[in-house]
Amino acid sequence: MSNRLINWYRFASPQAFYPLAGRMIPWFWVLAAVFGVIGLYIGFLVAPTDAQQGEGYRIIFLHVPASWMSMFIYVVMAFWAGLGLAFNFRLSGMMAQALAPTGALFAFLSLWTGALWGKPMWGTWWVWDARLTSELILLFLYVGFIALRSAIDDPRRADNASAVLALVGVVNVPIIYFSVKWWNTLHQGSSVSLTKSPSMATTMLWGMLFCALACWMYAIAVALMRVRTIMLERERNTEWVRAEIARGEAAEA
Amino acid sequence: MDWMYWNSFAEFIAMGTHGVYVWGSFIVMAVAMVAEPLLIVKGHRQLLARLRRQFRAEKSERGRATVRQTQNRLGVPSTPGTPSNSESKA
Repeated sequence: MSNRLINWYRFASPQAFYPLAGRMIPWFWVLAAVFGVIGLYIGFLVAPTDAQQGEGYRIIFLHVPASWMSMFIYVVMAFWAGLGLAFNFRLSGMMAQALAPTGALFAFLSLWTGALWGKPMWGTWWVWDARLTSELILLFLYVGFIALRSAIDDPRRADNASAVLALVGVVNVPIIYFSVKWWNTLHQGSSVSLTKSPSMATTMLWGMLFCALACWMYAIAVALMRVRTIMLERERNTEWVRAEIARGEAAEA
Repeated sequence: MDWMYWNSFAEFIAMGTHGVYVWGSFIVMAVAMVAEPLLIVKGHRQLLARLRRQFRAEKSERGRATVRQTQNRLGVPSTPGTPSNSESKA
């Protein structure tokens, strides 16, 4: 037990996490590629057409994973931010900082693919309905988080201030998720539910799950890549970064 | 489950009447998900280069300082712009 705890704390230091992340990144890329190929193959080549929506429904193989990731990444980001606020781990703020741009990207992609789905299906790119509006607020929360961070020079103070924003904003995630139940929205109810069997054909469901897994692996890979850059930048006055840079130089020489 | 739903490539591209919307979603998402890691790699390389320059500069400054100290101790008049050959010592 104590042994395991020590190991975890070891990896919680940037010095130990930097090389570990470097070794993990290629594996997440491989998984993202494999899941992505399977998911897109099923979604775009195998899955039959949707009786009501025609071929345009295939956008959901992109839209649903992007939307899930935008919400999930926010929760993970808020988790790291909260951990940093509570325990002052050096790694926490860096993880939150690394996740924000990817989360913002997925929020944007969710809105973009949603608009391109909405035009043929609803006849409009955008409506101010609860689901769409709360997702837009999520994008603004990400942008606000990034802007707040970059406005504060001292990284530890930036960690704390942005952590408060992230934690306050986390209430928005259940609002997005349950918006289609709580309000009468134009957006359809969830296609996949934990409580009842999914309302879509099995093939489509598999396609969507593989696409979601691909996005998940992608997000981990990208966040790990970004956190390594952030670590070097923020820890540049420490001995381990000097040693790391020297090692890199020696390897190239 | 058939291995392929489409009868022709043209049909696949057309996506019924929804080609613009489907491919408009697909292309933007694909471009974004390729661009993001490339930008991160670029940023990482730039940071590595910057840190290398910085550390090298600091090292040679330290080296020069050592030369000056030695010269002072030995009573050698300091020469401005002493080459930092003693860098290897540091």
